[in-house]
Amino acid sequence: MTVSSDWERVNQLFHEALALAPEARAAFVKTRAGDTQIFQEVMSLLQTYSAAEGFLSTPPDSAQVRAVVARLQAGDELGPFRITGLIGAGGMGEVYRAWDTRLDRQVAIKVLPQVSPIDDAGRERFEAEARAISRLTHPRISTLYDVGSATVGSMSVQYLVMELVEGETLAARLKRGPLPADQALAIAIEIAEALAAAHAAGVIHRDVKPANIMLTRSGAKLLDFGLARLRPSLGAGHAASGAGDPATHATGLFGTLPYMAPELLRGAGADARTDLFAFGAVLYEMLAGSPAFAAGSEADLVAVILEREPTPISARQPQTPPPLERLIATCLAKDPDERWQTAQDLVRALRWVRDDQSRPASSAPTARRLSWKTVAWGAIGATLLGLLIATAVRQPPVSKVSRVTFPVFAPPGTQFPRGTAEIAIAPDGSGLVFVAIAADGARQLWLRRFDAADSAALAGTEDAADPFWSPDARWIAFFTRGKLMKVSRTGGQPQVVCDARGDVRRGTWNQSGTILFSGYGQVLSRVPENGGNPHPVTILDESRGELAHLFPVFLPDGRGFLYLAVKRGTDSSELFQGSLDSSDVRRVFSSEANVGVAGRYLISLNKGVLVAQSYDPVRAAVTGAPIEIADRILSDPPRRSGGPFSAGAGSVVAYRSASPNSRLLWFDRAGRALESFPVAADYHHPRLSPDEKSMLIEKTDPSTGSHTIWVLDLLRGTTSRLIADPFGAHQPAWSPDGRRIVFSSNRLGGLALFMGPSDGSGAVEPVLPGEKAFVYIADWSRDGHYLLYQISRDGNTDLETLALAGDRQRRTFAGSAAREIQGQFSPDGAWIAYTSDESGSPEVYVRRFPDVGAKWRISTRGGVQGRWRGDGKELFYLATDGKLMAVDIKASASSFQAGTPHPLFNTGIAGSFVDRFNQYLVTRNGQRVLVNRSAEDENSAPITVVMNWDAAPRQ
Amino acid sequence: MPQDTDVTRLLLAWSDGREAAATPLMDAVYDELRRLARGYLVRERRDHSLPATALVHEAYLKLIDQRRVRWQNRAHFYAVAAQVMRRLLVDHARAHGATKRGVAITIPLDGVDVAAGGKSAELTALDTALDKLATLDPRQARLVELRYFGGLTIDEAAAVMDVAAITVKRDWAIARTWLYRELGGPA
Repeated sequence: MTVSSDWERVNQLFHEALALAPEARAAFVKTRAGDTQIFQEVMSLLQTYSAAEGFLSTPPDSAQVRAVVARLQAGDELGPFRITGLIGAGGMGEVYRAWDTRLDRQVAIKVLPQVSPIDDAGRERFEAEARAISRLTHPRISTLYDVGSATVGSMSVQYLVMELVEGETLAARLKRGPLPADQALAIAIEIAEALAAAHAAGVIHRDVKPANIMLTRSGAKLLDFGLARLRPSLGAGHAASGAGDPATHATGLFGTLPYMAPELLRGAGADARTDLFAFGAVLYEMLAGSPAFAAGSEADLVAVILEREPTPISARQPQTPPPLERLIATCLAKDPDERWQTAQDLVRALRWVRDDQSRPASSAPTARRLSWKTVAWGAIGATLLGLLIATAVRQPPVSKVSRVTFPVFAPPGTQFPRGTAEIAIAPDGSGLVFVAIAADGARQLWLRRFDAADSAALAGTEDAADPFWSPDARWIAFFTRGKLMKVSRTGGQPQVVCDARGDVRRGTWNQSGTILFSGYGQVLSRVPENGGNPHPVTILDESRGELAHLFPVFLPDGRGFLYLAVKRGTDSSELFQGSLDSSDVRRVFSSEANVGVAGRYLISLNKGVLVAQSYDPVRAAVTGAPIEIADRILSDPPRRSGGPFSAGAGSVVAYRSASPNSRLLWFDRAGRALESFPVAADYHHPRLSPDEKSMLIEKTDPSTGSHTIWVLDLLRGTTSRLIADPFGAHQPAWSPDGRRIVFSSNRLGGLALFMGPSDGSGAVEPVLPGEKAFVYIADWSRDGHYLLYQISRDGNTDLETLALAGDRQRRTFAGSAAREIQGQFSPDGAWIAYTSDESGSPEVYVRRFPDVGAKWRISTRGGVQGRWRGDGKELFYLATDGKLMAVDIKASASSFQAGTPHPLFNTGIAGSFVDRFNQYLVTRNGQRVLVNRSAEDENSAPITVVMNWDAAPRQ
Repeated sequence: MPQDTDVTRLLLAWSDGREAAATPLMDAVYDELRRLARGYLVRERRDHSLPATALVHEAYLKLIDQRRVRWQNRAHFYAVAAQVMRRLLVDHARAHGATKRGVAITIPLDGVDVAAGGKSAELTALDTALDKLATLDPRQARLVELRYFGGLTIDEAAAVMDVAAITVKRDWAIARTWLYRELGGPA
């Protein structure tokens, strides 16, 4: 097939034939081909078609991509070592096969990840560690021969020269299933012997896991001894990142999580017994076929290791000899003092079990039980002996100041707000305050003291958001219903501090009683802690394109403060330092989220990793090496929610980890569940197409914060991505003919409206060119003539309409000091239903359009998200307790009448809705309701608290 | 954050038809892709595959100042990056892929088992087959390059190539089938 025009014909016939039933294809093609070659080609392709179904659907193998970017190639020389090939690459750098030209032997060379230059102290430490490890020579230990640094071309690299071990890792072997007990035992003994030899030489492995155990022809070998400690630390501060090599990404806790001992997770240093715990976990996995500790997220895994015992192996493998089970249980004791104290004891105990097993099984069960007891006694005897020896040579006790990490779960019957939790750590590090939402939708503040196991609700804090503390930790300030309030931590009536309307986000409180706070479209305002009128403290710098100043936080002197400046044209923001005493501001650096101040440290989020760095307020700059606190923080770009973490003045931080968050559920009017989408992900703003066959949705990736727009095909249940914009695409809506969509994006600055074809096939154009405020589409009238949208300026939000034809005139529909949001045209286009908080709380109103006149209030005790039925004779809205309400409407050219709202069912939507839009929708006939609901409790991640993050784990 | 506006200028120039900008543009993209991939290596966790597609997206964000680039230019970038990615992978596969039949040797690194060699042959064969497809239908070959090496979805590819999504779907279906057959896949 070499002629292009023939190929066109083949294409055409191929697709036409595909549309036919398989039996009919041959005949069809034969008639239409007109040429035997073409006929054969089409038939051949048709026959291969289904086999080719998945071909090329997964991108090139990661191994290939890694290989491409390996820094060294065959022939490169590192000192006396000549590279002969790449073996593999991973988080710790690349491993090559090499030839040792002095000793004429093959070796493995591990090249460490390139980071910013290591200082002399770091290099010395590195070499001292390596020296200790290289002294280990044992048949069961893969030897470290040498360490070095070399320059290859323009690169300088640090490398380790190791024994080249060929075989299969235990991890790979375990993918094929568990091992029989005798094999597992044999491997276990060899590894335990390796550990015993190493511990005797004073070296702890620190990263025992199946991937570090190699099954070779001559037995098992333990690899990468102590190398976990040799990971280089992070490079210099933020100014350097963003271009070139990113900093190394370690968890800060050395080891691999599923095998880490509880005391390690609590920040204690590693000793022989932490290796033995990991060993026990490996032995468990060899027998059971799956890990001893597993959970859906890292934070959950920590909790499981700290609190739960693994399922007994005998439950999964009934043939497991009981003595082996008990031996493993001893390894996995939560308290290190309850474990085998030395690897030598463990070796002895394992040998007992092996020798006992190899004794011919007698038919009498009693004989078996007897030998079991013997082994148990023997093991205990060995333990006693081991204890005596161990006390003589035990490692020094670990320092009391150690890093501790633990989860804080939402109180029973409540959930955290979707997205990031609104968390505030007490300045004295004694506890934290967070927002949780009850089943009836009520949102309030809870206080959790760190010396208690439970949280307590703070009375009087209904509808609270974004809490923060007074510096003496006696008061908690928060925003509710347009006001800034404070409440004593011991309880009592909350007091009003001042008005705080609009989209307020966070405040900070200094020792002299001044509070700073701010919100979207606003600058920072100050107010005395005992009440008064707020006064602005900063000014928006238009020349830099600043849109708002958010997340203020006082510096330790209580006069200077830091804040985030959100700009147009980019999703990233900038951190500035200002002062109560002058109007000068200085730029610190770019930041993707809010920052925290903990004494002399600045806590910030850098590429999804929470780090702390020394901060010098005099120079308004960070200094010194960053300390990594945690990664995989649940985070939205700062304009959308509260900051993702909180830092206390002591060394405590709290944050939420990323996890998916919502489900789309269908119900009938009576609230009976109908068939729904199976997938849980972070969905927002569902919108039914006019023909009700598809749905637009905004999807968020919680760990990267990216927002994209998707189209769901409701008949086939498939999804396809429509708009993927580096700036994020938000809150889409359909045109009445379903051919176009409107959405918001930061592409040009602010959050501007764009319009484009609904099949993604063409260019996208701005709707309001030149408009700099934040705009979200509310609705597009059925006759296609008008757009209704929300526009946020200067801390206030109003509703405007745009005439799409003619002069493209913009008119205010509902604009006042109150927030007007969430509008929808009635089907005949003569009315608009919308939400306003002018009465103090959000209610649904209806007003005529386009001749705006009187308004009618529809909801009675709070309501949001009003939506019309397709015939305009009924209005739905959400009450504040999550119930879906329905109201009969009689509207005509001359009058409007709304009936009494009656509840349909409880949607289970929790939380304060005013900031949430499009959480439900109703089909045109008013018979089916789609609810966007948070996923079940087990999916929502807890708050993770890290204490003493500045205490490095000690030996 | 985009750092290098020079690359933006190169992209704009090349989009405008100035061929001289093509080589420096390719070089810049090549360097950036390699640098990014190394960054991914360092950050990577167990069991996560290193996505060639994510590299391309990230290279775009890093290299290009989006304020100056319109939709069509972005399409060009992706076309370039996909091509560069293909060259990167295939050149390396040709030069260094040691195809070992039988058991691949696996050496573990932090829990990631990497099999050396076996897959290289497939890449070089695919590259040759793609060149052959290009003589039959250059658009379909470019589509495969965009999707497989550049990681674009059907809709993105349609936007980049400025054709309707339905055309892309059909092209993809047949191009994939043809390549599969060409590489000797069992029916």
